[in-house]
Amino acid sequence: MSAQPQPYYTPEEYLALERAAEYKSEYLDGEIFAMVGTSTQHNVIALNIARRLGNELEDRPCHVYIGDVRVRVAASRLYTYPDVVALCGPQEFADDQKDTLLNPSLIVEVLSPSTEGYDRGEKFAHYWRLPSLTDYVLVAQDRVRVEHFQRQGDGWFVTAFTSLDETLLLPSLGTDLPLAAVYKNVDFPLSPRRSRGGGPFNARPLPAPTPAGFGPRRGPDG
Amino acid sequence: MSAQPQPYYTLEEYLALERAAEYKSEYLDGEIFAMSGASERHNDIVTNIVWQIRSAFRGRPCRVWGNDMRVRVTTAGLYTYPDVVVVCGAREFADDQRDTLLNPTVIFEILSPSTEGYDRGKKFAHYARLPSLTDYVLVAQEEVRVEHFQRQGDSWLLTAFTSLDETLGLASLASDLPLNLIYENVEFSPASPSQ
Repeated sequence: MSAQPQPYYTPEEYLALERAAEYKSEYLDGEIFAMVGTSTQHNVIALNIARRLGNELEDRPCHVYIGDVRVRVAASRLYTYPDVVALCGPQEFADDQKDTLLNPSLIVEVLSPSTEGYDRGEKFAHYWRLPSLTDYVLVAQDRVRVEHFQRQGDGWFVTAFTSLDETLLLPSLGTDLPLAAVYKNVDFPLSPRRSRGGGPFNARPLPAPTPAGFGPRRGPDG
Repeated sequence: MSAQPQPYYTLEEYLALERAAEYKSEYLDGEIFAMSGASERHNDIVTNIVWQIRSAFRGRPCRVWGNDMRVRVTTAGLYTYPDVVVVCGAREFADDQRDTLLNPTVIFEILSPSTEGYDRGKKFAHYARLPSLTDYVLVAQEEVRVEHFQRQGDSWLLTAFTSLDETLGLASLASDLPLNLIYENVEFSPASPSQ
């Protein structure tokens, strides 16, 4: 089998494919990435956040979307489906189909081990270029931890919340987000210590120590 | 083969193992992770940062180390070897062996795809609990991009630098790091597959 040439799609080709497709894909600078399904935990958290924001903002000219509204970052040639998106005021869309939002002010991503590096790194670097974006919120699903990136000039003010008593303030939307609401009906693994994904992906945990003391740690002859 | 029970090491076990070992491992909450080698670019960037900071520190009570100084984050049960660690003022160590620093002022990590989520996520969450730490700096090796987290009370101010004309200012060290020095001699074009 010969190596496949790297496919390259224009944004227009992606959008045409995407609007006819039965499943969602994201697009970044010529490449199309099919989206994977998420855990029920992921879904519950995203729904909790969208429901809370939706309830709080329902009497104002605000919009809250979950999972299915495409956001375009023109400067990066990125099309993506954030877990939760919100804004107050007039919406701007890419075209008359009104399915591709240009000006979110809040984006929430629920973290998964396989996408955490991307959500924190490259994807955020792209979102950074959205002038409308004032708040980026990352939500852990294996423990209580919400990180709030609030735009401040050219940078971001970063605050982490780890207690269910805490509340994240969203002045740009004129509302807030209590962690108790974010994690309502979410069960965490009983023993977080046993959960994987704490360390770097390429790291190899060493074998258990022998009962007599410390196990042999080097050399294949042990 | 039956499933292996998950190993659990105490901090003391880890330290005893680590001090006798021929290669470095990090420790997080009962688990030990052997460290992998780093690329040429990764090493070049570490060397550049250490050299630049070291030059700026002449005559001042500051130290900078690349790769080999272990840092302890007590409350988190984390021991790590930052790519670059800087301390100004009195140095505090875990014990008389003076090989485990307790009070870093600035930590740099050079990002790799396999560890980016960890460096940005859980590792930083642990580092953030070090009261001494004023600055956390992430340096990309695939592109010109330096992200600077500067402590502000209970939060951090994040700024990014993406041009070789820019300079990362580290007020806590009264020191500047121009990006063209961080990336000096670093080649971004992919290497040819084989010779």
